[in-house]
Amino acid sequence: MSRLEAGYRRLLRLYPRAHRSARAEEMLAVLLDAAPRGQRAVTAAESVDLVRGAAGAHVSGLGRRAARRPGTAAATVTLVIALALAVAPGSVPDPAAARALPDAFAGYSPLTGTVGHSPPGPAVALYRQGSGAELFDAPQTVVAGASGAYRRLDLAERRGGMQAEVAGDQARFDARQAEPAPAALSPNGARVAVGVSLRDSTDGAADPVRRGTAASDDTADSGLDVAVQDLTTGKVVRHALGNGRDALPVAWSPDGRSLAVLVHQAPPGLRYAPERYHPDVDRSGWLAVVDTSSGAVRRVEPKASWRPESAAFSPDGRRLAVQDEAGTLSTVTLADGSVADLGQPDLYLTSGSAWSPDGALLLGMRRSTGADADDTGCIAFASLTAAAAPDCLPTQRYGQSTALGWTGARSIAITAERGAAGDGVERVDVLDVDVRDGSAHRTSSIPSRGGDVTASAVDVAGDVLRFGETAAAPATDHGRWPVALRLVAAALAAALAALVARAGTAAGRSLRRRTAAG
Amino acid sequence: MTSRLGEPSLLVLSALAGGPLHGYGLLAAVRELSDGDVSLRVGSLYGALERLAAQGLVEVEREEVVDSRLRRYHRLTPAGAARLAADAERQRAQATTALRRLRTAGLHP
Repeated sequence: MSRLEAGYRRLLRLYPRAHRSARAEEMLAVLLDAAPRGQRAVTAAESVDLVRGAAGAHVSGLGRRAARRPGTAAATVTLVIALALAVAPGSVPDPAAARALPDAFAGYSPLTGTVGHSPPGPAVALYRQGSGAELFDAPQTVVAGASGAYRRLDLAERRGGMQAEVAGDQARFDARQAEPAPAALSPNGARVAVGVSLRDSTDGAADPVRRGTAASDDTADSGLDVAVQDLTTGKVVRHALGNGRDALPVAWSPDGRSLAVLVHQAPPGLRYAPERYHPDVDRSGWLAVVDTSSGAVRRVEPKASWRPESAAFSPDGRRLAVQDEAGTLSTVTLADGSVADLGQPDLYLTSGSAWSPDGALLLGMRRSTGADADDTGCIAFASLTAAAAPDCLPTQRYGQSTALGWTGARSIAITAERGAAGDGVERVDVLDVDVRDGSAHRTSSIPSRGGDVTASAVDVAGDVLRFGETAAAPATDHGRWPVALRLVAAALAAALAALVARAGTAAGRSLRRRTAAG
Repeated sequence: MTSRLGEPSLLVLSALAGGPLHGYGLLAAVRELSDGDVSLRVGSLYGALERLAAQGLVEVEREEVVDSRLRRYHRLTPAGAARLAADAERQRAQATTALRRLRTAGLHP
């Protein structure tokens, strides 16, 4: 059954049983005939029409009883409409929209719908918002669709673990505050890879900290995996990664076929905990190169007890630049597994899009030395050729910054935090920077809310970075409300329905009394 | 007493006056009859058909299975034809009256 037919059937189930058995198959045939060629999902207008039609059918069925008990009838109608609106599918954005960076992203909204419920289509970017410190401020990973659709990456929220694995109190912290699992957009924005951190539960079994109800199909039955979700269909494919405890997707190959995932034996909270307090933790890991078409997993591990920290594909997809925790940089040729050591340049590689389009430079960040208050670190380059690398660009010039990746032969995109403007809103800007002279111009920005919700973990789809185009932001669409909120709204409607019932019944009684008296 | 028919119901009756039609044919005929002004959606169409059937104005003529999908043809009943005729006459009378009054007032040639 097609997704379109399934959507129509779901809506037709809202009709009264008698109507359904008489009409549903006939209506389905007409709906499918009337749908334009290529339509893949129910449109918002069709949903409204069928919900209204179903409510109308319930009303006419209630007609006779309604004459006797107007209150109950009115209440039933109210309730049916409320419930129908609660379960009807949302509108489906146009998947064919252009993939330029919007000149502004939408702000935080607790009412944003989910990818799982209404996929947004190919995305231009994803980022994390919300600190969990305030009401209606739960951390979200937001996927920004090319067509202006914003959706919460519910898969990442469900797979999200605690960042601080060490503190027991922290682990018992309200699960709703959990950080979403790390995620990486494919170059064309059509898919997203989502990692996971497993922690050891009291009975010794690996178990991710989950938000809300556990969905058993979100992680493999046993062991570690990385999940890849199609943003047009919502379909999730999981790739098993063996016995590790932490999977971090860091880079997609430029053709979108291979996915590089850092696999560690310990989650970050334990890995970065001081060795003298946690001497027994296995801090080693390996790099998994997952062929997302065939599902084959290739294990890259240049040496024993390796502690990989980041990885980026070369422009031709044949090599990977990898860096370990000590900062040692090397390149791995995938065909023969050969490793070339590049020493310890003074930078930490930007995962994903670090490799310049001409293959000559690697992009990274140099941390502040702390020696000088003005030193906030800088954006640094390592040369893979005999030519000298461009000078390091101090981040204080742009505001607190993070490098995103290359946008051209000698230009990069960075994010930079900007203080409150006249409207009192702080923003994270996306800047395009010329690496030769450090000159920058703003291409987009993500607003925070009231200064307390800053966007982080920004990931822009590789193709969007490379095309380097910016367009006026399309009209935003936050999708249907999250299911829980819709159910609350339906419950409120039910309470209202009860009030309507009492008022209606009382009015009917007094009307009959008056008629009888007259 | 018979209730007044809404515009979708009247358009459906008019469409069926030309002979039996299935659901998708009805959608197209209604659009054509109204010069493209009225584009019924499936939920509205079946709401109208349901009301008309309940009043005995339309009935199912026959069923076919095309591409393993149910296709049902609807037709006017004699009561439906009479009702449509009466309504059309009433509309014509109203239109005639309206035009005469406009002409009397010199607001229409």
